[in-house]
Amino acid sequence: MSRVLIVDDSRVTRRLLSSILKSDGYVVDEAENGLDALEKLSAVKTDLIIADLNMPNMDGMTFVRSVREAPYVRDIPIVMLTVSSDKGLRKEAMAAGTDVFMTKPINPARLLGTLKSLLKEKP
Amino acid sequence: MANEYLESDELKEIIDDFVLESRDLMEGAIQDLVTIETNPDAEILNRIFRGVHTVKGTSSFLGFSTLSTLAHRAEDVLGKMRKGDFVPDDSTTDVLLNACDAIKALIEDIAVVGNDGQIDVSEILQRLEEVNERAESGLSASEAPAQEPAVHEPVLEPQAEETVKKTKQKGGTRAEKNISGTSDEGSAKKPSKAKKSQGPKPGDEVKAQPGGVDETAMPAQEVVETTTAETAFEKIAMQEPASAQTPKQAQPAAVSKEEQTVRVDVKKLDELMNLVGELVLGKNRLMMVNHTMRNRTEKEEHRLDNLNDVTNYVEIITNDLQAAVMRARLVPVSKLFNKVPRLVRDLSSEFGKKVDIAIEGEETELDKSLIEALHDPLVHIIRNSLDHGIETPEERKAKGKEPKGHLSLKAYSEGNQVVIEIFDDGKGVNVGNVIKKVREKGLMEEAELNALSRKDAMNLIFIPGLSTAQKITSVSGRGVGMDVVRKNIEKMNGQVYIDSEEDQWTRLTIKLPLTLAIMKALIVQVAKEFFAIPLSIVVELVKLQDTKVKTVDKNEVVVLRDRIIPLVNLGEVLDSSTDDEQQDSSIIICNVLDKTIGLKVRSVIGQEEVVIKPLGEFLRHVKWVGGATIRGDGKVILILDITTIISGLNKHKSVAA
Repeated sequence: MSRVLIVDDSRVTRRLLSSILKSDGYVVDEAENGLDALEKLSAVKTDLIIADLNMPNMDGMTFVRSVREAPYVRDIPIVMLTVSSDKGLRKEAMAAGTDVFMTKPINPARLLGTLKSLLKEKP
Repeated sequence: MANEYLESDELKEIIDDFVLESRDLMEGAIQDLVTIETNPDAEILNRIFRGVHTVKGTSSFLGFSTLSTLAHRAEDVLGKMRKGDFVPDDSTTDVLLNACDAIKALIEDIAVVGNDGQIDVSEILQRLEEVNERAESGLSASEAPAQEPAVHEPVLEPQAEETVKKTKQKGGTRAEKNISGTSDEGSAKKPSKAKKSQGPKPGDEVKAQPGGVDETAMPAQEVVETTTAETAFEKIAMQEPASAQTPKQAQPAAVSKEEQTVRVDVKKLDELMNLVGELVLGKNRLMMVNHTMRNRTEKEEHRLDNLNDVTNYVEIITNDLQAAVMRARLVPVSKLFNKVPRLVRDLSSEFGKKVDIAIEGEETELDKSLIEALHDPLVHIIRNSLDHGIETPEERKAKGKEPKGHLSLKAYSEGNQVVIEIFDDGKGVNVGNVIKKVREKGLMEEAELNALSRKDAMNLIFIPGLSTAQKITSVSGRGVGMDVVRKNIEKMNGQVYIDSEEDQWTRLTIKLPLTLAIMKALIVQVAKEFFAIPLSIVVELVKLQDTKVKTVDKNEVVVLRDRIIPLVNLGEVLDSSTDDEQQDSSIIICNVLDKTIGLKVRSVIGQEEVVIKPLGEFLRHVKWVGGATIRGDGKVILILDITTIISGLNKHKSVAA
């Protein structure tokens, strides 16, 4: 059973994502910003992270960099969700270490497909 | 879209949650918009943007297309403000505030009827679009060498069309870039910018294809500007939350706090409070039983040690439980105060006044039901302040005052009560006018009027049917203002009174109990009957024989430490005459409505926690009684409403005389 950490400052978004993931059998943890998420990561073994970009108390980009530079958790695949499809932003997110950059609104089927392929790639 | 993945129950819960979250976010955005109007702050602007952005994202996810279109448009304007493309003026804030109001209205509709199709938002969409266009033209103007993004030239109608064209072209090219940039996501993109200038198309958002373009130019450098990865990680290692970079009033999203929070329906809390109330009554009975048993079997007291232990234990637990449930119902008054700056902003422009506002003690907590009940009176008081209190800038200058008026709100706890003060430095209350009005309308006897102190006379503004306003405005000035305010506050077992210095200031003071359901009371005997008096107003108890009671002008007074305190004979007021010759033995000194007064009673029984039970519909006209309660021995006693007894006193006396 794969464990996914959802990082988003909107309670509703977290809940929606979490419902969708749970319907597909994932175990879900939630964090409301980057700092919160880093704490969660140190506490539970996480297989995949879905992070929002724009959050108070450490935004998504900083969060991704932090994860990539931290021991133990640096290999966890990260999906970044954002409403912006700005090219520069996307490039920056990829450079920071994001595996997949997805734009909202989210298509549940596509999200679940993406998760599946990301988790399979993992050694 | 998300629907097929969710159970209908779950979807409903999520929508409820969406309503709560979005409502909070929009209320926050409205407050913040008013704040940055006077104190521009990039972080606050960011927060507004995030709030609207979240509402847009979640609403489109849930398929509320009108709402998400509107939020999207508002977000466009905010995004441009954030980038510094243009500096908003008054009218921009107006439009954004109206947009937030409309979003809130849509949210309320979703809460009630479950969809957002009831309200026509085309006008506000149009206005947002105009602001957007103005921002675009501001952008092109700022391309001039002068580094002044603040150029906001007035929009001329003929110019508008051209701007739209420009926008379309620009949008087109940008969208194309997007396609090339993100095509590996395997989805077709629409040039959304062009779509936008063609007007709203509800539904577009929801149907959006996988990864549908959602144009919000977010400058990359804005997002990265916070701490670098390394420092952020170090900070965590040191257990030091990076709060330094967030302003003090940052959203209550304190790190990982939410996880420990559960949202509970208020009805459940009410139910819990009711049960605790019953438990308190049961505890009172148990204590009484324990007491009588021990009295009866004094010699074999040790046999009852167990009963005594249990009683004490139950008492402690019940008290703690009661306190805990009460705390769970407490809400900071900021819930209420935060709405005031917006109200003051709107009213200032309505009345043509300039007003500064200061808020203090917004963290003071009050029972949720009281916060709600306080809303209307507070709005009324503030309207009054702005309408009749604070003068126009010209009038103020003529009086040698600052042209800008000052309004301040202050909340603090005082014992078991919460005090709320509303202060303005306006023209104050003209006592002479108040008395004149009362006389004209024949609301009071001449002799009584003459006997009133200045303060008492001022407080006549609270009697029904009186308005000293010169002209009638939309709200204040119809003489239904202040008496309704007082009635509402007294319904909450609270008090309200006014103090003022003519041409200088006015201060309204509201005192409220912490909670509605349970209070500490002093049980007294008046003639043969027992009554409860709220302990919050009791200052001290005095034995009658130790003090000097004098008669001044047919009214009894008591001299206490060189202070003359008027006495009220409760037996007379309540008409509980007795045949026996027993004398009243005690005086209860109370502080009510900013006045000190002594109540004569037969004897004082003791202090008890009482659960307030309303009298019920057909007894609601009974004067001087605030409710009833059940004592430990199962007997029902009445809780006296001392405030109305005191304020109705003058009339009562004139009848008796």
